[in-house]
Amino acid sequence: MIKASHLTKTYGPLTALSDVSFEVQTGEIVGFLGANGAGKTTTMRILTGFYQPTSGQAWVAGHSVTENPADVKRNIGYLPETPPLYPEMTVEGYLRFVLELKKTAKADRPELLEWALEKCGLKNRRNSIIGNLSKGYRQRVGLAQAVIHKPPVIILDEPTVGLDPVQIIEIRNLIREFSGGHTVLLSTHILSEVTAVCQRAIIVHRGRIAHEQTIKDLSAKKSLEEVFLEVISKDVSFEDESRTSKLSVAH
Amino acid sequence: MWSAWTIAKREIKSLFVSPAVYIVLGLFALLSGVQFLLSLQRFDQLLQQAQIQAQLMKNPDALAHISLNVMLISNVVAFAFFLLLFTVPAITMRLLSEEKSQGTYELLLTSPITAWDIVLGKFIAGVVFFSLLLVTHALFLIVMFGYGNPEPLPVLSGYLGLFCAGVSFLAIGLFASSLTKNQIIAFFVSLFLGLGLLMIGWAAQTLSGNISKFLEAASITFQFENFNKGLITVSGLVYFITVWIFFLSATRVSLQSLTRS
Ligand SMILES: Nc1ncnc2c1ncn2[C@@H]1O[C@H](COP(=O)(O)OP(=O)(O)O)[C@@H](O)[C@H]1O
Ligand SMILES: [Mg+2]
Repeated sequence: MIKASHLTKTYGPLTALSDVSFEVQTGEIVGFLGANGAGKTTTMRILTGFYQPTSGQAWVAGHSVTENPADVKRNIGYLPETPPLYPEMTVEGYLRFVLELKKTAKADRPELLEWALEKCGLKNRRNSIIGNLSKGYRQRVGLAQAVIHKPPVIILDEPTVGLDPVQIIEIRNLIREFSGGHTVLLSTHILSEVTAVCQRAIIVHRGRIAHEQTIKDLSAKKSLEEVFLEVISKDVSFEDESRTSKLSVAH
Repeated sequence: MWSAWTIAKREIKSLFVSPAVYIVLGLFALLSGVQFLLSLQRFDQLLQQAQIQAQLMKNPDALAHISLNVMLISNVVAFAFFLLLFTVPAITMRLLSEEKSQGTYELLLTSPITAWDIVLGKFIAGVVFFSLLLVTHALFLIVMFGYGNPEPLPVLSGYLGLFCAGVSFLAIGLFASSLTKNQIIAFFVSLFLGLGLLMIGWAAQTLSGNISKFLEAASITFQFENFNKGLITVSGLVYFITVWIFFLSATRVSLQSLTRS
């Protein structure tokens, strides 16, 4: 459902992503795990057609993100890192706007609206002004706008960041409910989030895929945390080596 | 195309719950009103003087030289043109900058709509609000048509010029708003672009020959004043439509460059 092939993205002199390749199968929930600045948001923006990659290619629902971004956009729901909300609108008004933006059939809209309000626990907040909602509820509205048109692919960028523990559990439960029917790629810098929600983890580190791991393959002896630290320390020693070798060349 | 209307509808609803928008509307109406009353008073004085002259000199022609159109209405319209230079950027500054600062442009640009839909939607919303600004002038027109009997065609032409110029400032402001997420910067960029389009007319006065003619024709003041004198020309209409299309296209390119970067 999602295929990234040798994606590279540079911002001026900075290389945010280099040679990133991975796949996500239909119906899978995959966690994109990495520290801040690892390149998670950049990858997701490329997959949603928001940014063009500097080189490489990606396909979402069978469409190329560089050649056919319009078709990609028709098949995705996306929750950016900051939920894209208009604070002066009501929850219902906003979701109706999203339904039109996503070009859903007019006849389906009332049903989709009720479904999303119900699913995201927003039924009793439908007439609230978004700007007056708590952060947890705003995140639910953000999630609702990503799923309301029932897209085959759902992309969520750090969906639980900044929430309190109760809200985190609620949002994770919501996401888990979307498995099966939808393909979900979510990013996080929280290790436990991946084990709690995802079937597979892709670890990104400094713009590269450092490791892929199926959650059920994790043994009791080796937690995801250990795998993560191992992968990252390997990279640090590699950096050290390259630095010393550069120094020796300079001498 | 329908998506443009989706964007426009949402924007119009948001405009009408924004206090800043009511302040702009109120200030425009207030300043226009004050200027209208002052012009009216001045016109009244001129009229009385002319009446005295006409009686003294037994010359009824003196009265005919006092034209309500030239001395009052075109004055009011010209002042509104000057006000629009400042008020339109105050409306347009939020149109795209706010989408950027609150992150909603990420929703727009990952939805199955085109950059044109976004640009046109915002533009339509701006035109709707701007038309509302002009409607505040209806009161003055009612007074003027009740008080005297101005020729309707030059009035219509003056307001058409005002509309065309205002929409040009809108297109410029929309473009400025696409450049930055900072509304204050967007305001000043559109103000300076508008002033620039106005000031090339001044440059024309200090030069001569073809360059002068070209600069004069390129200045928005010159084109607007023709309309305000009652001269609706094809070249004037072409000028305004060119300005709109140019800045709307520039806005589209600017929006697209966000995702292409
Ligand atoms: N628009 C941008 N312009 C310049 N640099 C950027 C931009 N977006 C991200 N970066 C840089 O690219 C790197 C990866 O960022 P990002 O993809 O946001 O990482 P993550 O989401 O994993 O925290 C970081 O070093 C960040 O500073
Ligand atoms: Mg990020």
